[in-house]
Amino acid sequence: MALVSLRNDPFGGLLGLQGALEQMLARPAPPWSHGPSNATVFPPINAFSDKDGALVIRAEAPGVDAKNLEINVEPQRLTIAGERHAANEGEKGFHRRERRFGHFSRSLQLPADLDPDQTSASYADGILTIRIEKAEAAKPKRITVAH
Amino acid sequence: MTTQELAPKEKQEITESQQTKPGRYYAPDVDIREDENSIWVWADIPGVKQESITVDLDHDTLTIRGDVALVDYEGLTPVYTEYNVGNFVRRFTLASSARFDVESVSARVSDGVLTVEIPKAQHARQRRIPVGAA
Repeated sequence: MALVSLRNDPFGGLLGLQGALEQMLARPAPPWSHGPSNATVFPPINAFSDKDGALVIRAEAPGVDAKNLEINVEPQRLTIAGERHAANEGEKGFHRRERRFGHFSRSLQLPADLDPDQTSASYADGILTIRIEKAEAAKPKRITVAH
Repeated sequence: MTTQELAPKEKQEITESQQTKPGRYYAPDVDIREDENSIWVWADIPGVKQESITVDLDHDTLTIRGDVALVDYEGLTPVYTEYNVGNFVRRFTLASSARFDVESVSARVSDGVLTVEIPKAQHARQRRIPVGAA
């Protein structure tokens, strides 16, 4: 299920992405994922595969100190841990307090065909992106026919 | 320092008034605090680049809006999803616009958190009136 190409449909790009995500949200979780399909653990995560079969994980974690983010990857497990500090803890005068703060740590079970040595992570605009390449052995290989 | 475990919340979708551009819109979580000199608004708008944020103050209505960067999702196919990606918009009515110095409203964004400061008009700031002896 490919996402709508942005070049063809500038107004529908967001709709296409949201439609694809919405369809996924309605499905039961695939066997290799941990936990229920709707997040009860912070940060909420979306996992994508790209054209090369690499796994790209996006986590919504605004206001996190990137230096203190702990990302650990093992052959079939990814762990993301960190803390969201409250800037104004204990101060009075709040009209509304909807944002939540505290420690977080969550683990994801990963598919077996990834290479944890090829993991990269970046944090921008409150979104943590982790990319794990597919293992060489798992990539499709062209077989030449002897004749 | 709090030791509570952090849990995520469901995104609140905006459904009342239609937006002109297609796509789902969500209300960002906000903290609003008032001190002696200003009203502060912090909004969680992850995935929005600085140039896609607009903060408008029209009379007594503050509107915060941010469009997510779709280019990050080109070529990706979802395999597991827990949250939907959408633009953010939220509107607040300030208690009384006369009390605020509209010209000096400032906003900045860092790591997906938008901070808006709305300074109170000079004459509205609280003053402690010294009491002298008669």
